Amino acid sequence: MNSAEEEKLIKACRSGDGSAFEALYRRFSAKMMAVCYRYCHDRDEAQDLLQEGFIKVFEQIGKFRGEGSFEGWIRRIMVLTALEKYRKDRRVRESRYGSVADLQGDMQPISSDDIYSQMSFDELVGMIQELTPAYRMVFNLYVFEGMKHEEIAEKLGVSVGTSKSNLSDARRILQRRIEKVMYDLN
Amino acid sequence: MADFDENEFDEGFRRVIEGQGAEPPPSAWANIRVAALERQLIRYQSAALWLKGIAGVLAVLLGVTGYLLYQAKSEPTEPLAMATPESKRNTVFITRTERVFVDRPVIRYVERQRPESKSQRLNSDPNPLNSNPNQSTQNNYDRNVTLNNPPDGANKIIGLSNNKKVLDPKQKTADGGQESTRSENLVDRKPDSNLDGKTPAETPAIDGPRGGKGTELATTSAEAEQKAAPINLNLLTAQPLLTSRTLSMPRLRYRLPASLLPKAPKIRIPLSEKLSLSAYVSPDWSKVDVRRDEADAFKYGDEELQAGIVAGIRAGLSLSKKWSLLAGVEFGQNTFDDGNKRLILNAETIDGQTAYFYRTALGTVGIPSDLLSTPVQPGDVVGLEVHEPIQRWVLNLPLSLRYDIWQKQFLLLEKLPLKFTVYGLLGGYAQLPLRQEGVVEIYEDNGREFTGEVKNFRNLRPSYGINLGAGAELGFARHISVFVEPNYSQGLSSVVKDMPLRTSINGFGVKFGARWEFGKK
Repeated sequence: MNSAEEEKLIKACRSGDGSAFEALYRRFSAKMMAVCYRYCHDRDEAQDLLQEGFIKVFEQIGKFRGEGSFEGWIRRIMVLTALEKYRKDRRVRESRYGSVADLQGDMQPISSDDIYSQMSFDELVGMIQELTPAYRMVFNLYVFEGMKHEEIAEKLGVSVGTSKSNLSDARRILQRRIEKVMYDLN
Repeated sequence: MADFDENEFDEGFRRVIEGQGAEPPPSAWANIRVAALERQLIRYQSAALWLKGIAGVLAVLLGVTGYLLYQAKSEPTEPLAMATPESKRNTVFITRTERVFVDRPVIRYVERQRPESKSQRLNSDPNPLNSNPNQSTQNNYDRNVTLNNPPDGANKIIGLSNNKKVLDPKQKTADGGQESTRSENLVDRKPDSNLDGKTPAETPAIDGPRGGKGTELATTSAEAEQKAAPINLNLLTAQPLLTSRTLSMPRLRYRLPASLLPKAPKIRIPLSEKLSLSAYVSPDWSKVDVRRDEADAFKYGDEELQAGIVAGIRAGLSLSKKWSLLAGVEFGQNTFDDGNKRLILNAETIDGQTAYFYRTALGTVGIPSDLLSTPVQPGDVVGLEVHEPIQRWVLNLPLSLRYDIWQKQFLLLEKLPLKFTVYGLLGGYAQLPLRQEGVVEIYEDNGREFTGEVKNFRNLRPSYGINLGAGAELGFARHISVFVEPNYSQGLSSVVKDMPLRTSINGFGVKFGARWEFGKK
């Protein structure tokens, strides 16, 4: 879809055209579902997040000014929706999850190429989903959204130190699990 | 952890995950659509709740305003009371040389204070401005003249001015001890003391100072008039003068004190002069608000109204200087469609009739069975396409209160007087559906396709709503003015019935029209 078509689609959505909303959903749902997977613990949760996110997209499409890519704007809405959900369910989630077993022991260095060549999308997403919500959120925001610790701390309502510590822990846990997978493969 | 390269690690994740997609389950879109509609429904319902509240408040305000207006109109108008009796001196020539000065009361009316109780009124001076301490002359304030009937049949004037002391009819004069009547202001002449006791035939009409014994009438100078004392006036002889038009004197008659008088008649403007008639036309941009009560309703009802037109006439009744009541009749026409709608219709039996029913947010219509090649059986299916908007005609009956907020009169080019008025409108309306019809394309199972007209929409019903607006009016002739009136209307009840959804219509329009005022001054 070129930018002219995208613009036309946005215009149709703004005018309340139902079929344009459906076209927009078909166009971006797969990519957004991948984003939602990273922020959620399982598929059902991701689907709920996707649904909530797209409703917000439909409601707020009039606010899109055309600055930056439309896909990026939708993605931001998905991430903000995930953050909202995280803040709302924080207490419940913190009590449900949390393991520090994977933080013990020494780590072997893993290169980007190792991960790229030996790990699949589903495996890596599955590993991220297995993280505790706090680790998962910090990891996602830092690695994929490119946020700084100050910004993450502000959005999550934690200290910068906690953000850094959570990111470090998340990396350790993921590395341990990747090592296990790679060891099993080898 | 020394060998652990964080950037390498993060980059590995980004390379694998970024840009990838994961197809959501097929049901996801249906869920999103239903969730969005449900949210919309909740929003509409809460908006409707607010609107109901606002409508309630407006209704109360309208009621209070109407009550106050009614009360203001029906409040008894206080009788106009003469506050300061003033007199105007008329000179009446009896002969060429004889003249009489008559003080004719000039009655000036002022609004009285709030009425006291009847007993208070009876016990108090009806004229609060009357300074005359002589209670015997207090009741003459309405015309300032009281007529008594003396025993001899002659009328006696006690006084024309209540500002001056007047003798009581029964009071004896100091010199003769006889019953006398005197008027200080009616006739300014020197006193005469020799007339009492004479018969009317013997008595000249007016006695005054004279050289002889009342046979000559002395010429009075202005100076003498000033010094002249009141003279007696035989009113039997003077009676023709009293009622004479020459004297321009009010007809003498006995009147009750004002406090006992019936209320002074109000100045009434004839109803016909309070009326006005307007004709207008307005573009209409209406919108459909659908509130769904059941899940079935989410399957249809996405129609949208397109711009239409409204034309109407209305009559106005002026209630006061600023308020007027407007009522009229409007014809509205617009269209609705759902843009290239394609539907599969299942045969249904409604009210004993098996047919294909096309459901919209603005009513349901059956596909005429005579257009179909085979009789409709329950379970049969046809395809339907709507390519053209469906026409819709309605009749509105608006009723509004108009309040003139600001007025200015000016001359155009120093010649043409113009009157500019800015006003506000608030009211309600009833809407009656008149007709709905459109063209649909039907695809039968056997491959036959045809185009047919659908009318006779069912489930329609009268609805009501509120409207408010503001207008600017320019009067450029004695009776004619033109106006522009932006207005907004909000339907408060559904235009359809017996459906799992409720449809209300809100709209915006700008009326352009002309008004004829019957009684404009």
